[in-house]
Amino acid sequence: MKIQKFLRLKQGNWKRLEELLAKIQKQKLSSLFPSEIRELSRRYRRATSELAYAQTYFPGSETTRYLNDLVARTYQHIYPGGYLTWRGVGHFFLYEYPRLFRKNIIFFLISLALFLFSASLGFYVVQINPGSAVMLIPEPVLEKIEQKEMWTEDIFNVFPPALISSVIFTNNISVTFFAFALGILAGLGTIYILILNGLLLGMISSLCCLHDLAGKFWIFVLPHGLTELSLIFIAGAAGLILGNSWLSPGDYTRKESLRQGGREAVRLVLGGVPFLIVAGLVEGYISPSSFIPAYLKIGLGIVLVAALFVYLGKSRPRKRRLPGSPP
Amino acid sequence: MLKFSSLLLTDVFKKLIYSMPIEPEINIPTPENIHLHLELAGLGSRGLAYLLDTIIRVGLLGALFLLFYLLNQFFHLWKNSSKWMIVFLVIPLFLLHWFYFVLFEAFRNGQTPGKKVLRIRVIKEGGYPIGFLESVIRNLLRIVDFLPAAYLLGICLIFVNKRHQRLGDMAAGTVVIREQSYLPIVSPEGETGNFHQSPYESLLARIELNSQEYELIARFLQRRAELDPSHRGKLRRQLIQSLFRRHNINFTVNMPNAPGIQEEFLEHLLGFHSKERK
Repeated sequence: MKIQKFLRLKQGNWKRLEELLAKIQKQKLSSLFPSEIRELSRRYRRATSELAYAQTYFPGSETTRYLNDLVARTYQHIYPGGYLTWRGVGHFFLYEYPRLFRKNIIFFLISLALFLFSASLGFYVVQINPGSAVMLIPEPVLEKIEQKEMWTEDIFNVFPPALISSVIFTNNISVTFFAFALGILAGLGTIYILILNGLLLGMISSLCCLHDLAGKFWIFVLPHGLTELSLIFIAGAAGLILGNSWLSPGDYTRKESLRQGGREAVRLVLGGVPFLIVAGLVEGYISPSSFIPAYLKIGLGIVLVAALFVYLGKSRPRKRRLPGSPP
Repeated sequence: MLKFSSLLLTDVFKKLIYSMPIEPEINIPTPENIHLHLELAGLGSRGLAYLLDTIIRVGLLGALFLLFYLLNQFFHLWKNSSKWMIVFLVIPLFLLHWFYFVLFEAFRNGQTPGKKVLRIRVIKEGGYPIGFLESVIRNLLRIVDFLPAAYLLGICLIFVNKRHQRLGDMAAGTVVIREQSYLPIVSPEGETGNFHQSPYESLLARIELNSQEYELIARFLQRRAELDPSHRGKLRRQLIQSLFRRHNINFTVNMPNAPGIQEEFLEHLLGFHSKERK
């Protein structure tokens, strides 16, 4: 077939396909009538065979390039990716997130261990040599502690809790994002973040012990800290998954393994966001409050973290037994 | 020893150069068993798009800053304004920093405003539109591609990688492509004039068009109104001259140097060859 005949016979199909695409672009795929959907798929398939013909008989021609582009533009509507729906988000939080956590609990335990190790190291080092705290703890905080006062009181007297909460949870979410993303450097970035934060907590608690602030310190930290740290460890697990996925790909290629690891890890991090917001609110409203008695604060902290782990450990979809399958 | 090592070095360079993609394209096999070719976006357009997006983000933040400042000037809402400023801007800054790219790419089909201007788009390696998770992965990993400074790692990877992927693209399985806008070539419809009475009848019958020439003439006639006159005349003459040369027809003898006639000739030629001939 000569190109002129090809053009004359086929361009009606292309024109109509362009019209349908313009309609999808302007509104949405769901705005098409059922008949139009059927037409789209029929005309798409026709265009693919026309493209195959053009690639064979008119290679390098403008018509082939145009058809290639037209088919590519239609392709993404014929084979769309997954859409983000409220239902999907609900399902994620009800079942998928806890399942992902349980599946990767080993990485969670590794980041927990890294943190605890560096925290006790920090604690020990400061107990032996209190001067070493200068390395990580900022000057104004050090001064406050040496005056046997909590450094938090200043901040909480100036700003209302709502704003402090937002500063805190945006910061914590950023930390989890960093812990996830830096994991791609063979997990080293994640390990660095975990150890740094562990040292920081260890050193500061050690300093507070030395200056008779231990009680105040733990009453401030525990209500939100347990939940917050658990989520940091989950983000640490996500970072380790990301690094591990391409370091030990198993039966997959490194690239494919990285992609699968990435999908799993990012869901672990994103799932933590709402919990971090809750922890931030507790840290802004409840932890610094001088009206709420200490045992209530600590009780709340324990209840929160227990609830988190019960949810992560227990939640699973109801088994639907297929008829005829063994009970 | 020196010679040995320098040899090795040239080998490495050769290997690097040969492994670089000559045609920055990806090939997508579809379930219909055909291969789609999509052109990959280069570093230049990606960099420019990022620059635009950064300007937009900074501009938005600046506008918020100004709003805060004006509100404070006129209504004196806050006493300790410099401290308050930080808190006021924390959430917008957080959202712009982490979610500007994520949300635009996830919900505007792979295009941030900057990418839209530069006509590039993020898609999955398989040619599918980018999903929410992919968008989060590739954009959270920006901070790693940024290392050690100014996207050095990402830029190096885009140079070396066959599909121009930075780390974020590799982990998410995405590529950035250039959007094409080819106009279809329209064959003259309805112009089923009787070319046997055409003044150029004898010439028309002597000329055989191949598909490239046909496309060229069709494209010229389609777009001639947009061309500036001198350029249009040059193209027109070149088209006819090369056709005549191929068929051993003397241009000066057979073609009067009048624009109207030359274009009419091309129209008739296209129409003549578009007609169904048995």
